[in-house]
Amino acid sequence: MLIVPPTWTDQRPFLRVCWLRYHNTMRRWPLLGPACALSLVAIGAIVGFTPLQLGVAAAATHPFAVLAIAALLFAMMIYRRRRRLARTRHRDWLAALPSDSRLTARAACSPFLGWACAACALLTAGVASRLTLVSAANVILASAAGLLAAVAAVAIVALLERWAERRAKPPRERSRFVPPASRYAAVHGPRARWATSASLAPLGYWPMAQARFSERPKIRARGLALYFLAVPLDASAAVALAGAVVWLVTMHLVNLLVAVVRVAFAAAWWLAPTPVGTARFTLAVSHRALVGELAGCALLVFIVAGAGGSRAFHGALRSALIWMAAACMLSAAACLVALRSKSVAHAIAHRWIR
Amino acid sequence: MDTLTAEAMRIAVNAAPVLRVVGVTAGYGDQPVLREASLEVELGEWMALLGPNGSGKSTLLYCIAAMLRPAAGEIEVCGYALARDARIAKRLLGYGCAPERLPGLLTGRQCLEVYAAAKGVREIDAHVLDLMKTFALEPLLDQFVDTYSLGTRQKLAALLALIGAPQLIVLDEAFNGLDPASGRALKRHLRALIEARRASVLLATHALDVVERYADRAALLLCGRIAHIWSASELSGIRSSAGGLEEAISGTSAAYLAALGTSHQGRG
Repeated sequence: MLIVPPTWTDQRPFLRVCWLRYHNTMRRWPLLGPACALSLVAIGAIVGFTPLQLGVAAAATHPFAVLAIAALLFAMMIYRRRRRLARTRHRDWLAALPSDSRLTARAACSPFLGWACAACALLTAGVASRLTLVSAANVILASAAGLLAAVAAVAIVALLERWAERRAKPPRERSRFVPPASRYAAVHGPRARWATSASLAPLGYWPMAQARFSERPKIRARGLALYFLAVPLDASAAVALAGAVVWLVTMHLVNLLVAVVRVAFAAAWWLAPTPVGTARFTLAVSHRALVGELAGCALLVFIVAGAGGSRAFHGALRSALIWMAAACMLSAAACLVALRSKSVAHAIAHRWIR
Repeated sequence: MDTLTAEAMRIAVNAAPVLRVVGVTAGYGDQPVLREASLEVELGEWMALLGPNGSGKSTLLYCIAAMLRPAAGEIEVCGYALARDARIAKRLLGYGCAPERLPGLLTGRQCLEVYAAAKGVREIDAHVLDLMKTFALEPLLDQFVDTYSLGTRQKLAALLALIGAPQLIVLDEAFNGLDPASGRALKRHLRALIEARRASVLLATHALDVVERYADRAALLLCGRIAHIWSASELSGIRSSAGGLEEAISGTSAAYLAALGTSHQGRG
């Protein structure tokens, strides 16, 4: 079937690419659109029937506050994306084309899509929490006005920046060096008999390295910032710090589990031409990560017991056991699926891992 | 492993083909890339797989390496069907994966050790370790693979393909990015294995000079089909001709595509 993109994208290659990408995604996964719509309605309904409905109701009565918050959020998003696009523009595959959309417009594309989705969810939430359709629409209109204000503000800032750049000295070229993922991983010393008694055990270092990359300092700092924003103002320093440790260890446990699943698929693809058995493969991929999970769980139980006494200890212990069982089962299932099903492993290796 | 060696010897004596691909159809999603491809490689033979980009060379190699399950057809390595006797067939197979497929978060030494263990080999072959020294790879072995250059990754991928004394060595563009000295060392090593009738090589490549100089036979893959196979005598004739392999490929491709177009029109 020949796809004919709309004529308004003729002089806007970036928008044409966006349109084609969206079209191809919808053709490849025809159920994706209905599934997304259904999820948005479900999120809206959940928000509407929980205490969060109070927030929606409050937003409906203060549309100017919504406008201000939305404008701030969108402006930050668009500005960051615009800076990133400007930095990587020379590497863009459309860079050689004579005409292209403005960077600000390109940067606003994704926030616009996000806003459209959030608006759908908000409308459902408004209706579910028995707001009138007009008040729910007011929130959306205020948010849309915020988006427009943000685009205008970023465009003005971009113009001012360009003006300032022309007057100032040429900026120094930023380093284009992107550090490899292994920068955050530790090299383990080689085994003395690696060539005479080969073992699958070193495969266990891969998920550990992957987890360390996933929780590199930049990501960890963002997570901690989010956590400290959520700490109540009347909490004591000791409780806040203990909470921060629990948060970091929990993130580490989640990262380890995700790393095992990702590595299982990548390693299964790499080792597909070898006769490696499922049990050996599963053990090799997951043993170090599971030991790490066990140590993390023990630390969490210890902290919770220290803070909350024996009752908290029993609750934490039960949660840790459930988590360990889930981690073992998920790791084994991921290794099994990755090694057995070539088509699934292939698809995931292509779309997710690479 | 002893029974395996004995089995491999039996096959060698019986002169069964090391690789037999029969009517393999494969693709990604509902898009077929390979269409009923059939091919045989004998022991002690260097077979080159030629064809334009997107013709299905790498897809055929993925099927042979059990990384992609064909929709139809059968693949046998030394008489063992990949679908039924996968364990034995994979032990007799050495696959040099694309350099970007190597695990970036393992070191070179860990890659070699893990791959050997996965193949069921306790001791890494001495000739592989010798070739590693020739490649000057030793000082880099304890660095992560994602810090390696393209050439260094190619060397590692080639070494992985040679682990476990495989009967069939499958290589995909193995000489891309290799420095001339390492490239020559690898070609000579493969040639020596072939001449000792210890292995066969299936190499997918665009480097026609390698094919003219080292290959015994060459297959041309066009639009997912094996369009032509040049025998050893035909290849030696092409070597001595003025146009060489480039001319032969161009002529064969034009004739094949014209015939394909005519047959499609006839069907329409």
